[in-house]
Amino acid sequence: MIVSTLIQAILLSLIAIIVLHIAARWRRGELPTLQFLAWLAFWLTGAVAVLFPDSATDVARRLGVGRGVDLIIYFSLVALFYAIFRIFVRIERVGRDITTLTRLLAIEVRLREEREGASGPKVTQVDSGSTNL
Amino acid sequence: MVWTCAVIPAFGEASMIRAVIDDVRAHVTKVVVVDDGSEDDTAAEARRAGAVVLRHAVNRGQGAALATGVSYALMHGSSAIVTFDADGQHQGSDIPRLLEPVLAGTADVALGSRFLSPAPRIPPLRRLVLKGAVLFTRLATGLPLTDAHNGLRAFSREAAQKIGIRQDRMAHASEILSEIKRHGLRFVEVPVDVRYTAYSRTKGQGVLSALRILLDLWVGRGVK
Repeated sequence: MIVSTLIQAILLSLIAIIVLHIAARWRRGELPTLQFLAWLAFWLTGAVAVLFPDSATDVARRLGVGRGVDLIIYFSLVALFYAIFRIFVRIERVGRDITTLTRLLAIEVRLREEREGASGPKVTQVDSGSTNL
Repeated sequence: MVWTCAVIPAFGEASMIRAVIDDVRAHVTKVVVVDDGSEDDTAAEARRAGAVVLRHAVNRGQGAALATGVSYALMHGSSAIVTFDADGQHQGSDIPRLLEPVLAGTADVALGSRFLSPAPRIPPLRRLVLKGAVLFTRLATGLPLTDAHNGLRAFSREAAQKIGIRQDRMAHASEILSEIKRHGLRFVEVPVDVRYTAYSRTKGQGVLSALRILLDLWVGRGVK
């Protein structure tokens, strides 16, 4: 029996659920085909590593790394650093959009002040504290 | 008709802003203060001092505030734009020397340099960080500057239109330099006097901000 330990059963069940989940998203059109295939390859590789734990060690030895686990850790670190960079980029994009809106608002308010003139209605203060969001 | 504008981004400078505006007003046609979401009375004080005041509803950073001010100045037909800090480190008397080459058309950008000044008295750690910035700029852009992080500059209208400031925080200073390089703008460095007071020291940039700038520049490259 290839599933000889409880941890293998648990991990394979989780992977099966995840694969079904992303397959459903792909079927619904929420996930582009290329990304679906990439994720599928990723999780199937994981399933292979779970079913044949020594396979990772074989690959590792061939690459000159001590243990299979170390190999997985190295790849995971690279993937994680890249993912963190992408997250920073996404946050910065949101920040720049906020700045665009802030700038538009600042200039709009000023233009309105100029149109209404010095003798016009009281100047409105733009104050983030006045909105209870 | 030549119309010059000083853009002063300000955050929490209620105590300094009137003095700064008074120092600057004689040298430009209009003073534009961009209040970057200050919690104190910076905007009101600036209005009282007679400056045009734009107000960011939330704090976005000095780069963002500067870009807002430049945008406004260009909208209103400014021939030349001076960027000036609100913390009292810059001297208004340096403005004519910066505007001169820009208005004469011999340069597109005039960059203030504290290291060209006869007797710069700069705190040692700051000097180290600033020299590091000079080295970094030389490597990153190839521009042979003596001061790579000085907020006192003058732009011609055309230069201001070409330069895109997308970095919201302190990295905008480096971004402006790489934009100058990218557009092949003619620049000159002009000696300016940067005064370090106990007050301005509390607002200074340290090594940590330099690291933050590097991170922002790196992330900025991924945003394209």
